[in-house]
Amino acid sequence: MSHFAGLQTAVTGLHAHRRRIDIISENIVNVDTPGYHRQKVNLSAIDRSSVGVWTGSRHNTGGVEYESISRMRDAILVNNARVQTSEAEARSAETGVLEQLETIVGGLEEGSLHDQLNELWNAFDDLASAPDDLAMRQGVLQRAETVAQGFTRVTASIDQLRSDQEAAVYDTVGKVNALADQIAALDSEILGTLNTDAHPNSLLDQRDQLVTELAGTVNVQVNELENGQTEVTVDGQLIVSNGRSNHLTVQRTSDPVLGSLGYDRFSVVNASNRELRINSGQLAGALNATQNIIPQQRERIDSLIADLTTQVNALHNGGAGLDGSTGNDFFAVDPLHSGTLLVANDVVNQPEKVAAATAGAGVLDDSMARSLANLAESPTGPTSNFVTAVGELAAKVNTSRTRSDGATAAGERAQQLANSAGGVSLDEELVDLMTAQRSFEASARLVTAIDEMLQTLITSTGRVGR
Amino acid sequence: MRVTDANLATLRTQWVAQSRANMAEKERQVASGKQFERASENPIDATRVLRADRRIARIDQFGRNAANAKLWVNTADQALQSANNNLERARTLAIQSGNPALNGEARAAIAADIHSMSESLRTAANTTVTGRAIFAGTADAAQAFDETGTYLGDDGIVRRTLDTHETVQVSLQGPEVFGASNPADPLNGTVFEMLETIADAVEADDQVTVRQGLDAINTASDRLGGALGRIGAISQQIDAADVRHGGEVLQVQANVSRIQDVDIAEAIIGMRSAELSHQATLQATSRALSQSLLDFLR
Repeated sequence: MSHFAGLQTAVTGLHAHRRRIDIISENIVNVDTPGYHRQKVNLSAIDRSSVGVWTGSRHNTGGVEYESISRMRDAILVNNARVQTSEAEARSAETGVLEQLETIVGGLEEGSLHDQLNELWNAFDDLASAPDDLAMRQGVLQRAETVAQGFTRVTASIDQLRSDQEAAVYDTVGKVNALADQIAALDSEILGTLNTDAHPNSLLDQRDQLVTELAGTVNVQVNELENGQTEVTVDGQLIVSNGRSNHLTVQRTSDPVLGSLGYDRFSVVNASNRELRINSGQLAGALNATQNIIPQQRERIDSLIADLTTQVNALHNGGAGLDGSTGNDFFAVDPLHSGTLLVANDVVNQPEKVAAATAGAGVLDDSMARSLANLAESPTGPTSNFVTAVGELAAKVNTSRTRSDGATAAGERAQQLANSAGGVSLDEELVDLMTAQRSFEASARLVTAIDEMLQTLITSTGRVGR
Repeated sequence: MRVTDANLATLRTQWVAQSRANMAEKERQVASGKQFERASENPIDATRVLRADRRIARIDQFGRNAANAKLWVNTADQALQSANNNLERARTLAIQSGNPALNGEARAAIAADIHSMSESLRTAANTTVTGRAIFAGTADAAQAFDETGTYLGDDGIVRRTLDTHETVQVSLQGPEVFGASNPADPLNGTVFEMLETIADAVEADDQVTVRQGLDAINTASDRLGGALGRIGAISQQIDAADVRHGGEVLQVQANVSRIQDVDIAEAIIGMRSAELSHQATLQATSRALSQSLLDFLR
């Protein structure tokens, strides 16, 4: 073994520990970078029969070399975090929609539909007290108009919410496609880098981050291949493979059930026109909102409107106006737009036609107005039905919110577990930094020691006895 | 579990956000005085509150109905009292007319007085509430009895709703108070026909008819008294409903308050403790944030 071999060994130490310090610096500066996974230099003692660093020839020397830079990432935890986050995104999107529906329908606030209905019934009672007073009749018609507009505003707002969610479906699918494109592009780059035997860790981090984002929008499954590329599937259909992305599209079809509400059905299909089952992520939330949550609520309000019209008209038809006219309708549903409640043409702007009297009784009879007012507290009356509907919706929102909160908490926990494996701890890095620094210093001291040793040999050899 | 800086930062943000949200919720409770403002926060109690709100709105309306009923009843009561006075005066006049010392001129004066009593009775019978003749049933008639004493009303009954299942009759029909027209036997006809007949008899010094007339006045007076009694009973029913409603409103409101309102003392204490815990969280976070190995390295 050459005398210079010690120098050589010391140099491998300098080299390896400087590399460690480089990587530690990278970890420290990326402490807050989203998606960054901490890296670690794996050192190993040089095989004594390996090739020398400087000479290129086989030396029988030792030393240290960095074998690889590993990315501290627990694939199972990362995947679990994605699945949980995906679920949480779907539930929270649904809850958001339900909460908006609750705001639209209202209930406890001043001037809600509930209050408006009560005012209508009370106006009928006021009319009963003065059937000959046109002002009272006008009052009834005004209250009725308020109720009609109130219900119509609710259905119109629900329709608006539905079209917002339709737009959200398109936007989200667009986002899925954009993310798939970026993942595919990174995949090609990673493959290229791996072929040159470099460490594509930052690219892997970027891709991981994109896949996590994708998981938030749609239920994806990720298969990491040996060659460093990934296969991303949605419902078993590839959307990224071999560095290429397959775009999804939104299909709008008519549906007999939804069609009766004036809605279309939305589905997500791939290039070969196969419909995909979307069950988590923001996209699932938006699809569920357009397909189920919003149409169901709209149907509920439509049924309230129909019921109010039927019950009031059934009574009102048997009444007589101040002008003696009978058989008049009071409310009507617009035949062209289901969900639009109107004051019927029979009475609109004709207060004298509002029936306060029962047909056949005296002109100033008030029994019909009183019967109509009594709908207020009928257990099957329109107000009771409205309260029931408010209660149902509130329970739905409540359940959904609880589920969403639970899913969000689970997602956060899973994310933290994944982070605890892959995240940077500054204290840890600082300790590492000190160790690396000490090792570097020691290696440097080694060089000095060997140098002094050589100097002794060079300058002092052969002077024995002088 | 490794503790990483990113995790710590996330957790601390969550803790601070959570304690801030908790404090905001407590503050909202104190400011609004309500435990919940959206139905979804408490679906079951929310529907209870809605039902109670509706009941209160209805009771409010029943109060208005009762006030209107009371107006009718009080007006009817006054009209009947005045009718009764007029009838009593007519009775006195009829009795006076039996005095044999009276001459024709005096009898004519008494007859004129009885005429005018009849007219006053008709005015009482045509009493109106907001332009509506209260003794004309449900007919759209300006007067219950016209100048000839003919009843222009119908046999409809005016009612007011005092509660969901309780109505009260607030009108008495003209004929049951003032008699039904009977041209063949005017003494048994309307009170106006009867008084006209008596007046004519007084003027003609027809003592037999006057004595029969006095019997008829008794009958009419009984009829009026009966009507007054009924009005009194109706009035009591309305008052009873009013009292009951007053009690019920208090009870329903107390119930709503129990469900929905926060105990203000409790809420304020809750808010103070939420504030304290928020301050503690902030302080702990700021302390912990500065704890790092860096502080101890030279």
